[in-house]
Amino acid sequence: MSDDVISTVTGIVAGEFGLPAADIGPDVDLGSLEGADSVKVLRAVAKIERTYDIELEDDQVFGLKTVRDAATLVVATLAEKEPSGGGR
Amino acid sequence: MAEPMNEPTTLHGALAAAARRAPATPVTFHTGREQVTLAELVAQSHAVAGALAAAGVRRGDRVGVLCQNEADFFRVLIGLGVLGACACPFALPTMARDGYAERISGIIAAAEIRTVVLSERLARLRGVLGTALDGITALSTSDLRGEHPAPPDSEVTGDDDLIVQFTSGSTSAPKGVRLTHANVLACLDAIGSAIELTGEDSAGNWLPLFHDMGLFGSLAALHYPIPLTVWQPSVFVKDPAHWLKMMSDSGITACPMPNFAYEALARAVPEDEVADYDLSKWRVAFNGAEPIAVDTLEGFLEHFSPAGFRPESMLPVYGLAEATLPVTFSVLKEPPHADWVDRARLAATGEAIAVPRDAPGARGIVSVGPPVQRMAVRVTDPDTGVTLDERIVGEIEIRGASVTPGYLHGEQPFTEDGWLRTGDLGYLADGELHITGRRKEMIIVRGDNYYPEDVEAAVRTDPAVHRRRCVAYLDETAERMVLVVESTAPDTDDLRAHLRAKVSAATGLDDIRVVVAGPHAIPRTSSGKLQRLASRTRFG
Repeated sequence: MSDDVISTVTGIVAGEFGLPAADIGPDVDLGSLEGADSVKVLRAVAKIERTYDIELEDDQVFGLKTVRDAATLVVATLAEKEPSGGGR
Repeated sequence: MAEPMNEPTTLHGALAAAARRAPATPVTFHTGREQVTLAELVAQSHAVAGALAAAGVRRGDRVGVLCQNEADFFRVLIGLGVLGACACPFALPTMARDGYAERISGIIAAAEIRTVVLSERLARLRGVLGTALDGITALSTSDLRGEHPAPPDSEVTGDDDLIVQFTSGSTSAPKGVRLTHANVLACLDAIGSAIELTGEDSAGNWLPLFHDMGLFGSLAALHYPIPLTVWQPSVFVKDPAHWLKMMSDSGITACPMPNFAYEALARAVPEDEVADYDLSKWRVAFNGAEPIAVDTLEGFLEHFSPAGFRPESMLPVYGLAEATLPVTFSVLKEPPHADWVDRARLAATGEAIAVPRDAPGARGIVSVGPPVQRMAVRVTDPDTGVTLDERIVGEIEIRGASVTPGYLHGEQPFTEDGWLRTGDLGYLADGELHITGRRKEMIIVRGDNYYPEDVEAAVRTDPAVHRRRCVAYLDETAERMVLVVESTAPDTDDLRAHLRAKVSAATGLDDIRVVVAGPHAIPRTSSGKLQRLASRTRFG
């Protein structure tokens, strides 16, 4: 997996949670971060969607626990998008 | 089946009557871009009842419901009602989190659920549910389609349970609030009448349907009936400004939201874009389910005034699952108002002494209005049970047609003379209720509830905790959970950080104060139980 995606997602999560990016390792349980709540999670998801121009369904987000999970989903979603020529 | 001429006593009876009055009323679901008429929704619900009966569901059964904000949520709920069975809506997770599967398991056990209906859109949820559905008949909503003969009349009455709400209670002891058909109809009547619904209205909702305000707010629209538009919660939270545009373009006149959502809207729409919105049709902006902050409320009114939002449209309300939903609504067609009282006196003696707003130490408490129809409210001394005068803080007690007959299990919330103890604190002033403190032993952070029992369970077996002695409680002034543990180890930053991390991993709650005390420091009752209230006095 691209380290770029992990670092971008980490930055987004850090921004939404108001925490230093250094505190959010790729395998940290996001639910255990200080001040974690469903609203912040969804706001981070929204920002990830805008950054990569993708759409993530709620039930895809159900399965996410860490930054690495989110980055994997982003990469998979981008890969699905590509065969149709990418972009919209 | 023809409904008798007298008033319907069941939800499905009432909705069938509504569908006869206005069959073409549109019900629109953003998820799946599904639109049905009320008549279709009611007919489909009866077909689902037939399918549920064929799957073995019988009168009196309790059935778990895992659906998003989608038409199937209503079809299954109404269908279960037709059979005289009872729906237990399960909360959906936002993301994978420890404890979700355990919570579902706990509810399944507490409600003796043998069948769960899972939305076909939520197949991925099975991974998150782990073993929670082992041994349970799991039906997909896709199994409930097709032609099924409507079941014979099950002779359901208003006293049959329709819903058991599990929105309150800890994971260790989930509280199932029983709601009968009669409770639900009383709730829907009260909402419609309090906001003077007319056929010109149109309702919108993005709150989760497993939450009381989302569910009964939506059902009130179907019951009148008026058009209803339902979004997923994520549609609002991900992009509040876009949602507001859709909502105002749809001509929606009534929509419920909690305090944090009004704040999110004011932040999402820049000042120079407010005038692009037309909020002049928004007649009833319910504001409930969370403590209402004066500055958030006033900030919203000021921010959206250029969009034509009228102050009198903002309707602070108070409700709880035990009342089906509504207890008090502020006065329609009047702007919301706050009561300014002396903060120190309120905290020290429980007296709400009115002071000027600009007085030093003034605390503004938003009025949530008088009781809705067929509901009574009194404020009593939590220790003696004596009814208190106006402007004295006590426990809020309620009695009325939409109040639950009780919890499925465990200690019942009623006084000897039959009033329901809400656990919330407040006072009456000029007949209007003012909430000063939330439930004594629970904290709400952005709509998620956290319980001391779960915080205690997270650390009880930690080696640093002496003989499993710990107690958690809410510091109401700081609106923060406090955890006190007895330990033979020295009180260090590391130990406190370790305990905080354990609580956070288990419950998701991180903002807690940890107190490390010596053995025997936590006060006990004569029965040996650790006492939360006494601890609060000792440790602050």
